[in-house]
Amino acid sequence: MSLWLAVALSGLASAALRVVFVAGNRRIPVPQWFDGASRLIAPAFTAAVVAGWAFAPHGHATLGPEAAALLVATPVALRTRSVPLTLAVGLAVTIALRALT
Amino acid sequence: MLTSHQEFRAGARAMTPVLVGIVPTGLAVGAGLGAAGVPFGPGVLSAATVYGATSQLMLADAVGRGAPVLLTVAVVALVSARLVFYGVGVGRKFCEASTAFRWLAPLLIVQPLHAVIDARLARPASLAERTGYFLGGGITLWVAWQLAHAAGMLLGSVVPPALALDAALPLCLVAIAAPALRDRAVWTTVLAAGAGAVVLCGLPYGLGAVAGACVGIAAGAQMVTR
Repeated sequence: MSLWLAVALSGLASAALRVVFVAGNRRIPVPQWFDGASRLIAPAFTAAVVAGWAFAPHGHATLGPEAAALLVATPVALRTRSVPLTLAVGLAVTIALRALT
Repeated sequence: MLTSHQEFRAGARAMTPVLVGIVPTGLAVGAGLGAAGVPFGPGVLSAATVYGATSQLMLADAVGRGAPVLLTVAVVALVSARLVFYGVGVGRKFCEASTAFRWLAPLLIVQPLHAVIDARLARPASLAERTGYFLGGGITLWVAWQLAHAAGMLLGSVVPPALALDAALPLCLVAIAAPALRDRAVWTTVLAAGAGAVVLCGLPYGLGAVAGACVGIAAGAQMVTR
């Protein structure tokens, strides 16, 4: 019962975080500087999530298979802009280096 | 000018390559919840409502540790804090949308969707076109996540860890974000956010990523306003 409650309340909390600034956009003031900076949100969170996975996969800074995979996959992504190709190259490096270490 | 139906299909098509990374991630998260002892029913509910890899794994971790309900909810809310930023960005583009859209469509917001629709929403388009594109991409991603997650919960024990499914989402995000790296402000944002996330990786509940992203946005905003 408490598991169902925890999941349901967590879902409600997530929904509230998603909805509040879209549903309430007309009433909740957003700072002026945000107009210029809003296009930076997606790259910022993407970089933060990816860097955390690559350079701190276990909660502390380290250089391992994930960092190598990112360093190899990023030029592929920049050059080809292909998700499948980037994924294939990055996964190949990750799997190979994890097998070796 | 494209119709909203065409935009819906365009949004779904734009999301298709992303599914190459999302499906393995959904499998991995579903398998992770199953391994943590979360039964199928609550697991499926979490995929539908919490709807986020990191948040769902933190939920499973807290439940597995026997955390009280309110603490579990607080942890999930903290980890999901980035959704507020996505909501602000999306909200600016849909001020004039219907009340139903503004209350229901945000439930589809996740990072990959935001990354994919960001470029499209920056180009001139009518409200109908923007909503069509958003819903096409968002519903495609949501359905794919539910299916992959359910499959992961049912089949998780037979997926070998050596497949490195945990790497699928970050590598997928790299490819999605690459086209956005087109000026100094974005490069500054990305480098500062990445460095910030690594430096602050010791923060609890995965908040290092949120703090790092804020550092990146602040650094990039300096370039925009200069």
